[in-house]
Amino acid sequence: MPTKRTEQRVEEWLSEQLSDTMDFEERSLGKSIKIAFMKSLSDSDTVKRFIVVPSYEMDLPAYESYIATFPGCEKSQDKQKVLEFVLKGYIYIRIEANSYLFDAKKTEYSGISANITEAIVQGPNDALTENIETNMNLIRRRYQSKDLKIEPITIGNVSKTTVAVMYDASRVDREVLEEMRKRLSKISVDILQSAGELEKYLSERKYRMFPTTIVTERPDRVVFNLAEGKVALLMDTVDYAIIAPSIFNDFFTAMDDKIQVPLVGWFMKIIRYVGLFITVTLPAFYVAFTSYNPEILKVQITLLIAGSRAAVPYPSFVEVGLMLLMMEFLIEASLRLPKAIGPTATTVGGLILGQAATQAGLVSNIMIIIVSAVAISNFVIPLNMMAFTVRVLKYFFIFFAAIFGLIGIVVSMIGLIMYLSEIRSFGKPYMKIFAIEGKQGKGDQQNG
Amino acid sequence: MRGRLYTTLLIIVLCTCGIMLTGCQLKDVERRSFVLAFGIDSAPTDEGKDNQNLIEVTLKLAIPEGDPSKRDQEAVIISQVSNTIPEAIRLLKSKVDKELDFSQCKTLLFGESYAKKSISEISDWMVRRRDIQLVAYNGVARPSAKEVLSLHPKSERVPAYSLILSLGREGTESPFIVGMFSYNFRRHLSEQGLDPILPLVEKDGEEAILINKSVLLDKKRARAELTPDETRLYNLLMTQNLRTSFFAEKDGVIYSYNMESTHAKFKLITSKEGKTIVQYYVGGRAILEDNNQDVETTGSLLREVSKVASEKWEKDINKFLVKVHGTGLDPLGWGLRYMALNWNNATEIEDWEKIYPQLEFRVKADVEIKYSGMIH
Repeated sequence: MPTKRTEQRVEEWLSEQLSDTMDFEERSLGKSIKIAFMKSLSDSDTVKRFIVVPSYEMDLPAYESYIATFPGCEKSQDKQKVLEFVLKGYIYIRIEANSYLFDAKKTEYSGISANITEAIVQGPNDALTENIETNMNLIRRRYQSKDLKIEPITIGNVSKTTVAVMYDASRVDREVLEEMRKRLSKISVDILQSAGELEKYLSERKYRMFPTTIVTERPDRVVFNLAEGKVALLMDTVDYAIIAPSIFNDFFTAMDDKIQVPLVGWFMKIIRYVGLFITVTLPAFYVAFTSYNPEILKVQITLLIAGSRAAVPYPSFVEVGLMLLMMEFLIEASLRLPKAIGPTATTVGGLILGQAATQAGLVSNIMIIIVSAVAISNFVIPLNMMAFTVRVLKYFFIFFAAIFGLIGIVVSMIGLIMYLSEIRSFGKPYMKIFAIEGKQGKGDQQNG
Repeated sequence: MRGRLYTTLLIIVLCTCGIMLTGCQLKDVERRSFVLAFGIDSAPTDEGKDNQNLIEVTLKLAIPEGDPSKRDQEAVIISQVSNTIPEAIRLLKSKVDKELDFSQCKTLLFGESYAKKSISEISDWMVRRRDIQLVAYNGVARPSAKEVLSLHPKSERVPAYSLILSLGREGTESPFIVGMFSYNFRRHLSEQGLDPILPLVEKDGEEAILINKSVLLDKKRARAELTPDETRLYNLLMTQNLRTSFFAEKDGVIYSYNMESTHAKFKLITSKEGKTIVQYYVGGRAILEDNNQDVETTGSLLREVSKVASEKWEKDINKFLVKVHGTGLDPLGWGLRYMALNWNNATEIEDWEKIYPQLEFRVKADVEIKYSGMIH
């Protein structure tokens, strides 16, 4: 049975721990009520209205039962827990010998905004927010099933980030779920701040090329994948969700595909794969055709390339490498630059690279066309993680094309397929076209 | 750990490859001269010199133009007299500033006088040379390969491209052209029971080429020539659905008709007297195109014209076959058919050689002429 003495000791310990902290506040309300909280984390209005004011209007027993009945109010004597909760924004209230932790969290976050990284033409535009509860709301609203389970896990010794494991209990692949829990429990870091980071800790390999989990900001994608029996992770303070396991094809699925007429949807998907093929192989083909195998192309094209390369001083792979590098710089620059100067970079870069470089004879005309085609087709891929991977991938192809010509491209293509076939995402084959089989069909559930 | 080991090994292997390859300099497209057409002639006779075996190699090179909006591209024509082809090419290399590249060479022309002597050397070189694609077209050039290659037809944007377009039927679809790929030509040169045939490319005036005849060859050299009409009949017998037009004459009126579809096949039949007869069945559907005397077209007229046309075909084809047979050559593959149907490997060639001189021909033609757009 806790006594007033022990409680006072907890209180003293608390203020000792949080001394030298500007935003720590302790107050006495009358003789027997003490409160302590972090000003920066707790909502002062809540404190005023629900804690301070009633304490003067009620007698002590009534006040105590009043406090205890609040949802989110906990009774606790464990000083570690008290400290932890105070640091989360709870109010520590001691009434005589009992202490309570009152939820008065104040969270600052941006409201629900439209998607930025995964824009679509038609369909819901909500993006996930930095607040995990809002996110749960966004998802629950779209997935009204009793089977949707959400398990909390805290990761990060310092950041104490709440991660919620979401799954549909009736559809989820149990092995994947177990694997996910195992991997989450193994993570030991101090700070966890982004979904990408978590994705990194979750993967089984240290060095890898391809993302094995989807990181998305679309609640409808999360819902869509939950219905397919996948596991989703939500993180507090992060406006992205992680979905696992994922297959290669998932990265080429835009949420538009569901909205489109089937034939149009398939066409779009084919377009994306063609884009993938072009962006990966086109520069390598250029190298192979100009340096090794000009016989494959028609006479006219060969002569055209030869003519446009006549003034270029460097071998083809140097030219390609240089141009692609410039393009990468251009993309990076327009990404990082403040909105106000952004367009300048693209205009200047486009003009200089596109016009002046060819006229100066540094690169060939054909090269410019190829670089633009590569850049554009790269952006066809709907998920950013994959788009970045593909951006890197083409350099391998160029490398092998520069050494072995067309054979190099063929071999790297085979190598790529072998590598992809070997990858597993949470024990599931990555190159599989249909992620879940044997479960009830995709169509009988869900509306989005 | 094992994974890392493999990665390290892979990197080492790749680096070694890279180091070994540093010695070879990349010859990008702009450092190659693309040979677009290749011609070979007997060297012009030079008095007092023994030049029986000298040949003259002519190459048509393209000068790459960076500006595609220019009307046409300049061609360079270089030639060299030498004993052998490789030697000639070696000598030609010093006439150009870039590496000679034969990978885009899709036409190989043999001068008429050269073709009449022997073509075995060039055909041998052609298939052995790694960078000559065997889908190149072959032809016999008149008066000489050099003169034909020196032509610059007005319609040509890429040097020698008009030759590719017409010989490969990529552009024109003339029924008077026999297209012959290198690999097929080479095969026919060694095949028993089928002799090669090549189109004849003629110089027509100062700026045009004319391809409407063909040359029959035996296993070594050119032997006979087919007229345009005979070339067309050859195409009719060898290909399905030849697009061409013929005419038939009835009661002094000339009816010309255009073939919609054609078919031709032959059988080897042994007659009661023990003679081997080549029996041809040809036919096709045609559309009446015009007549020169404004005769009203009726169903019965069409049937009669069809009959006349069929009879004309039978006569013409028979004449053509007899002529071909008279040369002692076999471009239509009768011998090949005989050998395919007679399974006595030991003696079939000798048997065929005995049968060949006594071959007889029969032709059964069935032309069906229709009339479209009958409005009165």
